[in-house]
Amino acid sequence: MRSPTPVCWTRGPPQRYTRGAVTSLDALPLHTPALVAALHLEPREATWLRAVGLVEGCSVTVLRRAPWSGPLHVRVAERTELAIDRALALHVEVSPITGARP
Amino acid sequence: MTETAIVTLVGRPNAGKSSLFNAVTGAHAKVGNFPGVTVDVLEAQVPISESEAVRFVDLPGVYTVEGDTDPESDEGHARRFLEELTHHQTPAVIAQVLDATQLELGLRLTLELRRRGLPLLVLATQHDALIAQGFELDATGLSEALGVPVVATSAREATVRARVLEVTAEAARLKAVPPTDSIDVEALAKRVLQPRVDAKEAFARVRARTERLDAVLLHPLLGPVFFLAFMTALFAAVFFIAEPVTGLIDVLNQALGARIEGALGTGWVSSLLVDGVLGGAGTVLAFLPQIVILTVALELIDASGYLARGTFLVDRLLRFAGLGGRSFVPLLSAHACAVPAISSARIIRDPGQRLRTILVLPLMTCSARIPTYGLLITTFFAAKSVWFRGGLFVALYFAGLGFGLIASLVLGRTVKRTSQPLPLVLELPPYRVPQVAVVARVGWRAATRFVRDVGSVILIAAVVLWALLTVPGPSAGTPPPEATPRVVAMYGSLAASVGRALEPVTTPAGFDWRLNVGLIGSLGARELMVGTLGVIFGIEDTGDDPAPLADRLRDARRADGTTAYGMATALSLMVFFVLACQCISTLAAVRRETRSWRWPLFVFVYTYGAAWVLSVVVYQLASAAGL
Repeated sequence: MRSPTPVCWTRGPPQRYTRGAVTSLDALPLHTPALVAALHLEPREATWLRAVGLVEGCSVTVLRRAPWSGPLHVRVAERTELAIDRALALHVEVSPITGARP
Repeated sequence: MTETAIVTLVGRPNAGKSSLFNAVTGAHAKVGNFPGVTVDVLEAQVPISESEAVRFVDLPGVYTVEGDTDPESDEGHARRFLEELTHHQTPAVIAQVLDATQLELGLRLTLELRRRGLPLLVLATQHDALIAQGFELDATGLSEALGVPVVATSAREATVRARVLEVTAEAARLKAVPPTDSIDVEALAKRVLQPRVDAKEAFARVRARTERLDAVLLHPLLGPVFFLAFMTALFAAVFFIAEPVTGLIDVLNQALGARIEGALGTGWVSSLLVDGVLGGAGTVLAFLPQIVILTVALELIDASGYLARGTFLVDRLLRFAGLGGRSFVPLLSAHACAVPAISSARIIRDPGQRLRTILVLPLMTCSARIPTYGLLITTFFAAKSVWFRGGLFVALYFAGLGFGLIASLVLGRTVKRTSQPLPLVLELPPYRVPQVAVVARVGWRAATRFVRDVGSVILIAAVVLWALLTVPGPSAGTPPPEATPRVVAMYGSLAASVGRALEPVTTPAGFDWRLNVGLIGSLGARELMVGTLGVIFGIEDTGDDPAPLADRLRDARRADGTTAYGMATALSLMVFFVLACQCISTLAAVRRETRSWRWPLFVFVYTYGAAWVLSVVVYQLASAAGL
């Protein structure tokens, strides 16, 4: 088995943020629809996330957060539901849909 | 029968692949191992005419077969398998099992599979669920757009087998689709999903049901409480439901033993049959119901969609212990058997988490431990209430889990350190009602496997042990007062000599030579412990009617005539069984998955070392407490 060599899967801002119209998925308020704007991740992780269903341009809503900084439960493109690590959600940039009702 | 094609089922996790595979192949599936590919896959040959057959192969669920995938993950294995298929002599076809309710996501994988250069067909499953959501799939339109055959079906449909076989009968004549044209999957999905009149209401209804369940099962407080209560109830059920059935089989065993002794007398043939075969293999057979109940329950958790919710709930806890949410699937399935669980650790993408999971999986309470736990609890805690006994049984399950988390925590900080583990991304599938036929088949498979083991390995081991307990050894022990000649011979046997040689090491843990022989007998497979003790104490039993093993253990005496075992011995032995990796199959699986002898050796040493140390501690403390 390959040794667990240090893996770096992140790229870009390391903490929760909100800048103008965009925010990190981690900071998105519950039940607020948004569109995935960018994935600030290494290509390998970004490819994986797209394969699972989280692609740029798709809609995303945070349904709940697991306690003690556990994963987020998100709904993607209205049909898929995913559990996503909060550390990963920090690197998913989303743009809340203006005028949408939570 | 000529094999015309190999049809490999590929699909995303939860696409309904296993249900479809079961529906098409029936009960004929077996675990195969393809040459050149180090992955165990389920396969079955299905006749399509009087002289021709198609081989179906079920690969693990994958999200992608492209990109930079870890070669040891499910995706890596699947990719290697597909590469191997292109060189196969028999025509090979990929049958993508596509969840119709997740069409757009499935189509992304379809495009990747088209690029593999193999003929492709699409089996769009969950069509009944799609209709319940208010949509219908235009299979013809999808087939035209993709240029491959498409069948819209559901594993619950009565005609599913015939329809899949009809399309696969032509599989050998299928040609690979040249992947020249690019397809906009989003637009295609919208085009071929046709809303029914009541689409919105139906979709809202299905979603509301899932949301209602999630509101409770994933609630920050109620969710973990329910999860813990559910797991406790499951483990307790294994004890409470199976106890009367086990008792009944035990009574039948004793009656049969008495009849044999009545017919054949008390000669060596009778001893071989009653003490060796019935005492050894027959005693183990009594634990069949518990193993089936546990296997069926775990399958229900998986098939209902609750397994993924459990992952969501425990991710943080597992992460603290150096594992991750994805470790939960192998950790839970190891409660049935660690061997397939070690293979299922391939779903863990992070190499460090995967290795640590593999190293702690042998500590989970697998079904092979149940016979020993059951025997020790019914023997030494018979005076306690049934609730106490059930509670102790459940506590043993959680002890295995607890020790596993501690071991992972220690390993993560010493043997294998982690820098930045890969984060959790896991699909939470909609809740589904498990298919009775599929669950029944899983239970049946567990039962037949266990009976086969009892009838082969355990039976042979019991007879060999019976023989070793009659062959004279280098040293003669001191038998209890008024021992029969047969018991005197056993005390001077080869097996007894070996057991006695170990006593200096095991006495601090409360084990005498008889328990040592049991531990040696169960070195390769822990389920042999009860059978081994059955043989030893069967020979020792001097009563007119064969007594249950529990009575014999309680009445066992030391050479000085004092009681040999009590609660302290039972607790010490339980701790030993919680920790020690007494399973050659598990060690072989660790070797296969890690491709190194270092890690199985490590597992053997650390589990036995910890087992001995803690057994000594528990025995000494319990003895001091007067137990």
